[in-house]
Formats: sequence, C-alpha cells, structure tokens
Amino acid sequence: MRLLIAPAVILAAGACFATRNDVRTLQADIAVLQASAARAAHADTLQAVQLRQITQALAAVADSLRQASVTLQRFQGDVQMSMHSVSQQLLSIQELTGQSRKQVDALRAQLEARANEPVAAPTTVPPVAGAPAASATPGAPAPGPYQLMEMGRQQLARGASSAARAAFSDLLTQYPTSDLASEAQYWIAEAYASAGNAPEADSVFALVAEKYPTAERAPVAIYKRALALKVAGQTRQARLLFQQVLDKYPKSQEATLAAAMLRDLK
Amino acid sequence: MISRAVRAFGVLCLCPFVAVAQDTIPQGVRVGLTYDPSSRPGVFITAVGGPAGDSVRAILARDLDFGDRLTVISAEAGPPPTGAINYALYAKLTASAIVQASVTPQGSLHVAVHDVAGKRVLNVGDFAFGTAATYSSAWRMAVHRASDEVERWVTSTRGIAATRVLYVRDQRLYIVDSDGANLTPVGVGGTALSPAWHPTGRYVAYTQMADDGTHIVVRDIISGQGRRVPDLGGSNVTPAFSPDGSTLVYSAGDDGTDLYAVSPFGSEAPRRVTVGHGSPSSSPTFSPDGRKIAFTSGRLGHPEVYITDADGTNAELLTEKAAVEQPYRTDPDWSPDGRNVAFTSQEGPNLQVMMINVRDRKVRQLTGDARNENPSWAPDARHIVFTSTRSGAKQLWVLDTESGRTRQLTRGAGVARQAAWSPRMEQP
Repeated sequence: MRLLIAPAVILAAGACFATRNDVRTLQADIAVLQASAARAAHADTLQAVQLRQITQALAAVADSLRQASVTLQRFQGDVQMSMHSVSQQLLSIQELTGQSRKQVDALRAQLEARANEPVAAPTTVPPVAGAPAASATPGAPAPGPYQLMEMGRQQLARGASSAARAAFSDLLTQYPTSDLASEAQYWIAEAYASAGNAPEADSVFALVAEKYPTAERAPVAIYKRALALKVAGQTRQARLLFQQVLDKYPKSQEATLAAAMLRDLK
Repeated sequence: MISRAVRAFGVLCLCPFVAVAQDTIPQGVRVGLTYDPSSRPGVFITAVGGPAGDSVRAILARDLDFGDRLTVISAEAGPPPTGAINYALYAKLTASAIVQASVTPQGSLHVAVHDVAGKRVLNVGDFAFGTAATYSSAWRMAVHRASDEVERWVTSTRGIAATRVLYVRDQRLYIVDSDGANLTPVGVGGTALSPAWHPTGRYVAYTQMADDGTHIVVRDIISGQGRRVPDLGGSNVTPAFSPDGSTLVYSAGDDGTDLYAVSPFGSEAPRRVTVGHGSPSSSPTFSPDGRKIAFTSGRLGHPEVYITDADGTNAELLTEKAAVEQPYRTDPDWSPDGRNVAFTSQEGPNLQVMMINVRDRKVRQLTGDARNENPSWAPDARHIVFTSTRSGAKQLWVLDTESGRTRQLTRGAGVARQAAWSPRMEQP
C-alpha cells in the first residue's frame, strides 16, 4: 500500500510546480481556441445569411410558380370558355343555316308561284262571259317542287294528311331528281304517321333511309322506326336500329338520342 | 245594340243545340238562333228562386260576363217569374235570351234558357249540388257548370267558368276559381315553382326546391298525396303533362339543360327529348294532339321558342329572331285548339305577351301596358291568364284575345305569377 501512495504524491506535487512558460503556452492555446470559435461563429452567421437568402429565393420561386399556376388555370379557363363559345357559335350558325335554308325554300316556292301566274290577257280583248279562268286552262303550268313541298307541309299542318301525301307524291313523280325528293319521301311517311297508319309510315321511313342514305332526314327516319319498334315491344329490333343511327350518323342529333335509348334498353 | 242583337237572332239556323227541338218542328221550316261571334247577344237573368238565389244569380251573371260572348243585361230582376214569359217585354230590354233558374228542394240548380225571338224554351238542364254546402267550393263549381252550359246553349261554345287557375304567390302554390273567388292554398310544404295541371284536373306537377337540388313533384289535389318523379339529379324544373296525361316532360341538367320525358306515375328512367349541346332548354308545352312540343331554347345564343316532335326529332325555330337589341322569347303555351302558341317576348324595356299562329307564323302582340309575362291559355282557346305589373305589383290578369278586354284575377299582398289555367272541372 505504501509503495502505491508514494508515486501519486510525487505526481501531484509535480503538477503544482508548473512553470510560467507552461501558463503562457496554455494562454496561447486558449487564444487560438477562442479565435477558432470566433471564426466558426462568423461562418455560422454567414451560413444563416445564406440560408435566409436561399429561403427568400425559394419563396420567390414558389410565388412565381403560384403565379404561373394561376396564369395557367386562367388560360385553361379561357380556352374552355373559348371552346364553349366556339361550339355555341357553331350551334347558332347551324341553327341559323337551317333557318336560312327554310326561308330560301319559302322564297323559291313564292318565285315558282309567281312564275306560274297566268299572263294578263290583252286589254283590247274583252273577257268572254262564262269562259274558264286562265289558271284553270289545261295549259296552265304545274306547280314547282318548292310549291308542292310548301303545299304539302301546309296540308299536313292542317291535319289533311291525304292531301299532304298527294302533294308530296306529285313532287316525287314530277321532280324525282329534285333536291327536295328525299324531303318529300320523308313527309309522305310523316303523313301516314299523322293519319295513324303506322305500318305504311314504317315502310316509307325505311325507304327514306334506303333511297337517300345521305339525306338530312335519313337518321330521323331510322330513329322514328326504332321508336315505333320499341313502343311495340320489339326491343331487339329497336336496339339494332338505334345502333344503326349511332354507327351511320354519329354526328346527328338523333345519334345522341339513340345513345340514350341504348343505355336505357341495356 | 238592338241591331246587333237582331242580327244575332236570325231565323235561319243550323246550330246543333236546336237539333232536339227540331223533332217537333214541321220539316222544311227552320226556326232558331244564330250566334254571330262578332256580336255579344243580350241575356237577361231573371230572379233565381230558392235558397241563396241572389248569389246564384250574381255568379251566373258574372260568369256570362267574364265569358265575353254574351252581354248580361243589368236590370232589376224583380220576383222570380211565374207563368208564361212575356217575350215582348224582354225583347224591349234588348234581350236575345232569358236565363230562368231556381234552386230545387232536391238540391240542384234547374236552369231554362229561352229564345226571345223564337218565343220558346231553347234548352233546360239540372245541375246537382250533391252534398255540397251552400257557398262551398263544390257548390260554386256547380253554378259555374250551369253558366258554361248556358253559354254553350246560346253560342255553341262552352264557357270557362268551371275552371281554376293554379299559380305561385311568394313561392307557395294557390288555386283560385276562374272568377277570382275561392282562393285555396295547395299544401305542398316548402318552396314550389312552375306549376302545371294534369289534363284530368285532379293532379298538379310543380318544381320543389330541396337541399340537394330541385325536383318535380306530382300531387293529388284531392288526397294531398305527392310523389317525386324519377329524375337525373341536379336541377329539374318546368314540368308539363301530355294531353293524355301519360307523359310528363320537364327540363333537367346542370351545365345546360335538356327536356326529359317520364311517366308521371311510373318509375322508369327519364327519356331524353332534346339535344341542346349545352344550351338551356325549358318550359315545354304540348300540342293538343300530343305529337309536338313547343319549348324555349338558347341554342341560338338567346332564348327563342322552338317546336319539336314529341320524340325529340325535327326541332325547328318557331319565333323568328327579331331585330331588337335584347331578343328574348320564352314561356310558350300551346292553345287548346292547336292554332296558336302564346309566349313572353322582350319588346323594348318591357316583356309583353304575344301569340304566334303555328301555321303561317304570324305574330300578334296581345299586351302593351306595363310588364306582362307567363301566359297560359284557358280551355276555350280564347282567354289567357298572365302576370302583369299594370296594377303596380305583379298580379294575375285575364285577357280576352278577341276583344282585348282584361280583368284582374288576383289581388292582395305578395307577388302572384306562373299561372296555369286548368282544364274544365267535370267533377264537383
């Protein structure tokens, strides 16, 4: 035990006897450490500043992105609005075109009627009492296709389906290559339908689609046939015709109606 | 007036109402009454015997006056006539017909109409009050039915007194008799709009506003039972029944609306009728034969009235685009005779009621005083009920489209609008 205590005492006494030189060295070391710490602190400050700058830069980028996003959304909205507006304008143009065509047809009918008016008799020749009117003469010009169409439509509106059918049939017979031939065929079918003759209406509607597949009324005729079959409970045949409208005339109004019908019939 | 009345009562007659009387007339002699639609023959209503006779006479007089086909001669009735009628005396009063009525102990209204020029009884009828209490709604309707028959006997055209008008006042539904009496709320609970009559007069359809959108409800006005018709969600408005009552068409959709057809009492899914491509379509009204539908559509960029086949095909513009800054045509209603469609049109700063002939497309402006809108035809295809601000507030008015005569139907606080004229009420 005594042997262990002795060296410890010597070591402790040695520490107490540190020289001035040692203290100076120690002070220098402390100064170095303080300078190092100060440098480190300065570096931290710089980093903090840099971090702040980076944060600000990021915030600015985020703002820009947000602005860009808003601009993009606005642009998308504008594009959608424009597309909607364009589609509405197209729709309006389609409607107006249809309307203009009807007016042109009416004008043509009037022109035909005017052209068919009898020429006034010379004033020097007095009319013979009891003579037939000029319009009733055998040589009087026949009404034109637009006149016949107008007459037929008017008769149909009055509920005179037989008279209407006669006018449309005359149009088909006398002007088989007229632009109005498909229309006349279609309205013959409508006249039958109006008179409650469903089988005849169906067969003439079928004729419209068969003879005039590119006519505006072709999808209407098929759709009408399909509806009649659906009402009669012949669902399978009705479905086939609805599908036919959808396949052959996908851009027609009847295609939209047929699609809805097919959904219901599933 | 005398000459008009005399003209109205010619000796030549082919009118259907004398067909029965002709059984007793020697062949080859034609005696009777010819009604000239451009005249208003004078009618004298004698004092009415029996309980509440004065009220019966007042209702008869008002009904015949509101019918706009007859002139009710206002003179003291005196006591109820007994014995033979002094036709010469009534002729001096310019009467062409005499209405003689009495309330019978059996509980009916006995009515006889005399032809003054022919010095004979033109027709006789009994109108049962049933168990209805005096002055009750059913009692009044029985008197209205008598008025309508009197009008038919004299003019060959049945009157419209036995009808009602359904309308909206402050988002609630009300029914009022055609003479403005007997105002009755329709207890639908909640906000209701755009009402329409079923052709039987027993059911009404309307738009009911709810938290999840607007729905179409069909209600039995006798039992009070209501049911929501199948819809596609979203906004569902402006219902209209087909003339046979088997179909209900209404406007539905969110971004643009289209017309859909459904059975009012069934559960099938709605069937699409119009293809508006995102434009709004609403306010359908059927032609009397049920084959066509007139409706409002914005497919031209502004509201106009279109006609389509009831199956959705052959849609075409009915009202021509007019050269005005703010073109606006809406609320079509097809006349019961099928000839005309009444509608609301923007004319300058105001809305006016117009009608268009379906065949020749000729348009006639029916109103010009204040703001007038929402027309609905009476069953006679001659009178129209509409909303007008001519009295200051929005109230319902009735217009005779032939004479231009108007009368105020509703009064009182609140805004009255969206009127729908009922069919003839056949049952008490």
